[in-house]
Amino acid sequence: MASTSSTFSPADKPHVAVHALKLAYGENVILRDLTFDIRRNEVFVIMGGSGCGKSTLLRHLIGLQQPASGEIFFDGAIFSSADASERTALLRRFGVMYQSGALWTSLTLAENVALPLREYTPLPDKDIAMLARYKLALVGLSGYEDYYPSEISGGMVKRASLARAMALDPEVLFLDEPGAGLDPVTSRLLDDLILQLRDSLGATVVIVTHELASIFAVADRALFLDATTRTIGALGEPNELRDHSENPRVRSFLNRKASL
Amino acid sequence: MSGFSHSISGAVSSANEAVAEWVSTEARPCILRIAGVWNIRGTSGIPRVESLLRKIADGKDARIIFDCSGLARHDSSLAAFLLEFHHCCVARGAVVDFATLPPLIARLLALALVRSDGRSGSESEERARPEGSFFQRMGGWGISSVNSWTKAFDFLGQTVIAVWNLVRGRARTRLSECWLFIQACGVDALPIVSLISFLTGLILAYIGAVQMKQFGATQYVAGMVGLAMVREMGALMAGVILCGRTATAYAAQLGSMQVSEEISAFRVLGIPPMEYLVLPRIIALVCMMPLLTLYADLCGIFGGLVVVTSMDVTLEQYYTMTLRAINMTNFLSGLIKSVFFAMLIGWAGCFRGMVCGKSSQAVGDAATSAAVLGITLLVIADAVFAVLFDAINFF
Ligand SMILES: Nc1ncnc2c1ncn2[C@@H]1O[C@H](COP(=O)(O)OP(=O)(O)OP(=O)(O)O)[C@@H](O)[C@H]1O
Ligand SMILES: [Mg+2]
Repeated sequence: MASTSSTFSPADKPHVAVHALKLAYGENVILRDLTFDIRRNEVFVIMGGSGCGKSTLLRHLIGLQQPASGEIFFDGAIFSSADASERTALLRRFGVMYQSGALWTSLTLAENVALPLREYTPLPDKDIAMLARYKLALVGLSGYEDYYPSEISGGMVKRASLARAMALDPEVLFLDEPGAGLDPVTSRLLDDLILQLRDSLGATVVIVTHELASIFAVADRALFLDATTRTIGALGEPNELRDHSENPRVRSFLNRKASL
Repeated sequence: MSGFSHSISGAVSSANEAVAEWVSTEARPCILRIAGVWNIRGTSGIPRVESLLRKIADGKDARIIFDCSGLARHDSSLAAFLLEFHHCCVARGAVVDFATLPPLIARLLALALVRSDGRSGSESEERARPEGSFFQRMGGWGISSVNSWTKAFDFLGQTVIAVWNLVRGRARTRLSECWLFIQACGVDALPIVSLISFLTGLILAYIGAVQMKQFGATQYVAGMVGLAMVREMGALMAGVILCGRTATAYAAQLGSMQVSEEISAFRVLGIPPMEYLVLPRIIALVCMMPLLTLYADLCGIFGGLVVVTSMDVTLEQYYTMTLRAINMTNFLSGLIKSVFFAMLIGWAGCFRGMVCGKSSQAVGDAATSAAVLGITLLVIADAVFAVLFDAINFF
């Protein structure tokens, strides 16, 4: 809500804080010793090779999975062990776009975007339909309001699920691979849109991606997850990391070199 | 030709309410004042575009600018309102000047407008599926039912071809898959088959006993229960249970594979889904159904036994009366029927799964219609068998 919003807590407190997090599926530890902050109103990119646990980390950040150990704080309040009602209240301030889209297949695109609005706002149907049209227009899907998810292309599914993620004007927007499956131009437009949304909604954006062009275009800071050491490889500004990181794997990732 | 009234009277613009009202009177350009708190979670709602536009009904080629000085807070409800407003104004020939909006909103609107170029909102109205007149609906219903019959026969043909390939030994069927299905549709069904057929035998025995008691011929109930179970109820009850358990499971499995395009992936690999997915399922049912039927027969007879022995009939009497009533032919007729039932049930489940649509709703429909189709086919087949066995004197 631009600079006009008065609901924000002091800007120095990190929006999301992760402390000594360990992620595991049963005995199989995916990542450990994760400690980092996500600042308010920044675009934070989580990157790393395929299968290093980016989506897993995201699922923990949005509370779909419980960490093996460690804590996640949201707005200074502990999130990872909050009870059910606190957690739902917090979750309503998140918008999530899943890697596979996860649109509800029995609803049209407009209904998909409208469902969160219908559940959590007191608006009448007409206004909800108007908002849904607007959100779909933002991602370039005007005219497709009455299509079902099975009737649109893979990239359109991605964009529609972004529209659904921002239905409630979330404070934190989590995007899992938003650019995958889009052509370069649409991908650029999506990057623009993400920056615009950050500015206009005052939202914090957390993006999982491995598309270099998009990382350099949008990221304020990037977190590199290292599949070899199973922990944080580097954290910082992308340009800085590319040229000056001590971790050679980070440099080769950001320079697109196949070394190591 | 300025048709503007003075600013809307009576509009109480309290501090935390979204406000959009005309301020300009005769002056050009027209000024829309936007103020207050625009919040999608607020209870006051969003101002109506239509009621604002009614004021410029004759305002052709008017230029509209905005006064946002009173704007306290806003979220996407404002942008959504302005987008709608813009579309409606353009449709009426008015020009909206976004440059007078705060830059952040203007940029978002520009983005939304760029991306809605080419396709306008009105196009989506064509997609609205109208109910149509009575005749249209009847026609649509007719076409869709013909279509579903065509599909059914097509699928039947494919099944026959797949079976023929299997007989020739050319089918790409993984028979090891069958074991899993055999466990799922056979062994795992034992508890429910036991319960249902035991109770069926018990019910039959009670009904029979009420009548027979009047003639003091309670021991004849034994033969009645035995015959009914072996010829009719064993196969029928096992069939109904497998319709509910297995046909629906098949439809849901194949249906969700259809949704996630797993079936397309098989097809593209050159593995015919009919042989790889459908045949093992039907084969498993055909193998297990006669065994389940036999088992159901025994459970039913046992159910009858429990009732009748409580009514001064001895175990031995029950045994001899049962043996006297049923013969090998009775058993065979039940088993022959059960094999056919198994084919129908498996076929119904797989058919509904394979023609499933691409949504979670469609998967549910597939499971439901698999059960309905399966039970319908089952009862029809049973009737056909009754007539047939009578015609060839197969008793
Ligand atoms: N449900 C699960 N159960 C067990 N292990 C899992 C599960 N989901 C993922 N994993 C494992 O966790 C690891 C990380 O998976 P994750 O999906 O987080 O990767 P990713 O970094 O998002 O990769 P990609 O870029 O390909 O999406 C993988 O090795 C995977 O095998
Ligand atoms: Mg992933």
